[in-house]
Amino acid sequence: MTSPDLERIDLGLAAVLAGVGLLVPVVFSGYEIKLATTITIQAGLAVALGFVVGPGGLISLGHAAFYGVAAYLFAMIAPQFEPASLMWTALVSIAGAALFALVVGAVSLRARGLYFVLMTLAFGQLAFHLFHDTGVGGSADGTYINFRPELRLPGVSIGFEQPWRFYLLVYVFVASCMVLAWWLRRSAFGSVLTAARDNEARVRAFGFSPYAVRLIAFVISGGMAGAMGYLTAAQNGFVVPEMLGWHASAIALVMVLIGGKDTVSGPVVGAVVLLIAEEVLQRTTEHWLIGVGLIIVSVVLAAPRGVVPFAARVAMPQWQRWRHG
Amino acid sequence: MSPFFFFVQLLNAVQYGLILYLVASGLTLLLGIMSVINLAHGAFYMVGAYVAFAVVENVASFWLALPVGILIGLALGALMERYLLSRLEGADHLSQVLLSFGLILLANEGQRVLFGNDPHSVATPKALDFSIPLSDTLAYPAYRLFVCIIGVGFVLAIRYVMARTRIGMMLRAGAENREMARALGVDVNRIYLGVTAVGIACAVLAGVIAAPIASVYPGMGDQILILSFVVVVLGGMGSLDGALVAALLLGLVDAFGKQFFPSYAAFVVYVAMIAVLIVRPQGLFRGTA
Repeated sequence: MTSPDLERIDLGLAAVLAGVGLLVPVVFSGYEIKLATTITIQAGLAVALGFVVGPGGLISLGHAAFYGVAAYLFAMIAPQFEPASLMWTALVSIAGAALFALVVGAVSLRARGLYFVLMTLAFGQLAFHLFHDTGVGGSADGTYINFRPELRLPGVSIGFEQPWRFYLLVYVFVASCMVLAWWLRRSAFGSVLTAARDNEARVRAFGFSPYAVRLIAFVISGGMAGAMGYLTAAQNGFVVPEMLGWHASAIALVMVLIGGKDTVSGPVVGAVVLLIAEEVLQRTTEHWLIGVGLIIVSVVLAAPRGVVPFAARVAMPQWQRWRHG
Repeated sequence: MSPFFFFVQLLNAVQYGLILYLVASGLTLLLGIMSVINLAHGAFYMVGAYVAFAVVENVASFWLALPVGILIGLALGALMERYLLSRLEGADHLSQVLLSFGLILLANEGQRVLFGNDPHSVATPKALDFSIPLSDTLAYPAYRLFVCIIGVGFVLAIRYVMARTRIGMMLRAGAENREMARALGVDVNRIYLGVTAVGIACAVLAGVIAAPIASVYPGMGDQILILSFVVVVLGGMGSLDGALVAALLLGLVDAFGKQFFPSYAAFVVYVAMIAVLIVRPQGLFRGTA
């Protein structure tokens, strides 16, 4: 299968996912919408991480830190007795996460390969212990956020207390991230980023700085992860240090890999598959994590490039045969 | 602070550092020789602790737990290399990260199925269940000294094997240049099998001997895993001597940090790791990256 084929399947799948996503508030209500909101946010986090893991070739084991830092920032700046302004708090939280990503990236990207992985892990744990041990943000218990933010436009303000409204807000954020990730992958910037992954020396010979390109990608990805942390904080009404821990980072990586890191739709598929499997397993057994572990191990062994490329490779010949009779 | 109190903390630091080294040495060998990142290493430490718990509960003998733990560790390590890691050979680190993360989930949940959510304690073996008096008010538990002795024995043994034996020579060659070692007739696959089996047996053994000191609880492998990674990075990947120094340093930070700045002890560890990586990206004890 050629890569344009995969790209077409990828785009088609992304469009299908976007369509299905729009149907959610029409078809479902109550708990299902809340679940769909959670899944969509996690899909957004996976898209953010997928952008550095796929085209960047950078395995970050600390992305939950950006996600969590933005959530904590929101919890700290949200007023106690009235809803916060969506525009301002989102901006501040995302900017904070991006800034933290800039610091982490600037230091970590000097290291290569496994050292980069461990460097991001160390920064993630640093952030985790900052919020867990030192009393910042309520220590191990976390902090509450009393109101969901509201969108204040001239003359009208839109609240997001109803599940479907909040879902649509999340949908807009995540869809924007997908479009951004797709556009960046196809842009000249994305080409240089991918080239730096494949042949660093040649990229340098062309006069680009692989370090700078990677850093920009890392900051954008950190900002997107921050947006998802912000949304999670707004949805749940509380933040806890576990949001920043390395387990959360690893789960995000799992989603990226299950779906396929080299596609835009892959991380979304990964998040949907993993979280729905979790939901189903949780209803059947108390020990549902065994199921999750088995899924992860089998995907790594059977479809190491992810299910989207795997399915595409299996499905494409069938499709061609069918189309050409 | 009295000199005796200082001495007790120093012993605690050494004892903790040596347990950390026992776990980290396997991790650093896997990284240095096979370029494998094994997040499940802490899970094997937990397996060891629960082996100690199960053996002491059922057979009432801690000493039996030592060989049982080592055998289980060797078997698990060999299985892991044979059926999982070797299938990923040539694959990127991402697959290793995820595979071993999947194994963590399986191990943690398997532990809950078998032993439940409650923390357990493992009785100190009878023969060592006494304290050695240091001053009128302070005494040091004999079992902790025993852990120190095992740790020092392990350090000497592994240094001897690496520096003086044929296997050690092949390991060093494999870590230096895998392709060249293969070309010179070193059976790399067997080396890998051996390294994984022994490395994981070390983690299990560490869990067994730590069990009477620390309580045995779900997810106990996580913290030691991350600290072991800090040790490996500080020492330089693949460097056993570096890992030893780094493990003892972390032991000191742990023992004295918890006394003087309890809220920041963990924090300081990661700041130190990041600082070292900024100044020496290849770790403290490696010549070149």
